[in-house]
Amino acid sequence: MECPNADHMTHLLKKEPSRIPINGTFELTIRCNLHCKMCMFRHDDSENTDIVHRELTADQWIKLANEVSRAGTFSLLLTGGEPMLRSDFCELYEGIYKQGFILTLYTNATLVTPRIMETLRRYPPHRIGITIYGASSETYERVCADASSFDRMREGVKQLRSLPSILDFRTTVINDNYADVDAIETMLRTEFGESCRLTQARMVNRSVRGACADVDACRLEPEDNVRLALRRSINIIKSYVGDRYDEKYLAIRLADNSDAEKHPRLTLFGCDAGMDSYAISWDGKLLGCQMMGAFALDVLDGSFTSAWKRFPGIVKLPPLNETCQACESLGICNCCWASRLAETGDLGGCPEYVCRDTAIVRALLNK
Amino acid sequence: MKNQEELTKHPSISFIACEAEALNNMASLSDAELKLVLEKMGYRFTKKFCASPNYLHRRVADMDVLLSIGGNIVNFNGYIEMNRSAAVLWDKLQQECSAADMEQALQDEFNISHEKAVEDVLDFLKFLQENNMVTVI
Ligand code: SF4
Ligand code: SF4
Ligand code: SF4
Repeated sequence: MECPNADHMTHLLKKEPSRIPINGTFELTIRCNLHCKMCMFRHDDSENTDIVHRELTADQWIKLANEVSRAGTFSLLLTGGEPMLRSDFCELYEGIYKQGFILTLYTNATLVTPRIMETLRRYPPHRIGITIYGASSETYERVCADASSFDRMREGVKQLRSLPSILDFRTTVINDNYADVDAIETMLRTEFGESCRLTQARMVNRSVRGACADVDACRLEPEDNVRLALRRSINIIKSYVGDRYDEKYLAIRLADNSDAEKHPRLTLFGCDAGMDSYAISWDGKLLGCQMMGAFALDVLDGSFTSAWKRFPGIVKLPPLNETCQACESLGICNCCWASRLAETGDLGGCPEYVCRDTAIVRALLNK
Repeated sequence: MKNQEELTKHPSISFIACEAEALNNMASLSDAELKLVLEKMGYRFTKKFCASPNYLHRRVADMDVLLSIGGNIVNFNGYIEMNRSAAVLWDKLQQECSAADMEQALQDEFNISHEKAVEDVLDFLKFLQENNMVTVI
């Protein structure tokens, strides 16, 4: 007998689309020597003893690296917390490197020792992402609660620059370093070379997965957030067109997204998470991404490959809330399942901070 | 009797008899054709090759890639995609081997003619040499 729902079922998948874990993130530790006010991941120091006990050992990370390499991971990000804080960082790093990845290392550059440099010289990562939080000790004190880390960062960057790796400089802007952004860029260019560029997190979300930061108390108001993004974009345009820059020709337009619309793809979260990218947390949990802690599988309880296979089965998302569903700005909104969860504590929530930011962007587009 | 070391140090010249007609045609031959003619004349190609340790072969999904590693990233920070035959040759080059060994590997693996194997190996070695990816011994 023919199924009465057959017409409605033409969209059902006959088999699961192929998922290959090409891009991985290893969160080597959640601990950090700095105490940034807006840190999304660092736990309260009182938890450190327990965290050290539960962190994967160097051998476990190396074994995992071997496993993910055989499962198809090609690009691997090593991040934290601060990875260099681990006393076994050198052994761990060397063991992972030898499995053969396009390797990126994220660091705050304040813990670069001669021993670490010796290891990195022998096995240079393809990229190093360095986070810079200010252009003075005072700003480092305000943002990271450690004035001396400013000079350590500068020394660390000088050392890292001697490697053949590509260096990316990144920052997160909050009220306490808002006034420093231009000074950071100048410092990068004068101290570390004209070609140094600074990228900035577009929006600072509330902390996730048990982290302790009170982000609301320090992040920018959405107005300042958008103003900063706009000003920095204009600076980039000016650096290309020079004296020919004229504000009256400035137009803000939506990027052409028609190609993506023409070729919709199957996802778990509306992005690559869990489809061709993943993160493994400091305590050995497979996550869709570092920000999304709601769905997790233990990779030590079996293998990475079996956890990766089972992962889609544990992802259960609620329907999108009605406000977002009906929102005319859904297409330009920075919101995703992880940021909804971070901002509202609820996967289906509607994040007020993001809404305010998006409303300003919408107004600029309508102008 | 001379020992082996003295023998290899001793300069030697070998004469290879060529047909005049073959010699006349040589100028118009491709590298692969020239190699085949010389082979037929009895010339032995003694050069050996070995893959550079600056690249690591990884199989990613259905792709074979060579990843640039170590200090080599100062010259090339990235990876190169290979087809299956390039991957077979690269794996062969993990140990010192001659062009003939590589040709044989292609013939065994893909059941192709000797002529085609000679052409493919020459192209591959040329690419590797141009990009400092092989040591010639
Ligand atoms: S933001 Fe980065 S540097 Fe700052 S505390 Fe968190 S992990 Fe450490
Ligand atoms: S978060 Fe706000 S702006 Fe974004 S889609 Fe939902 S309602 Fe619209
Ligand atoms: S943060 Fe959001 S968009 Fe980014 S990978 Fe995670 S779920 Fe996807």
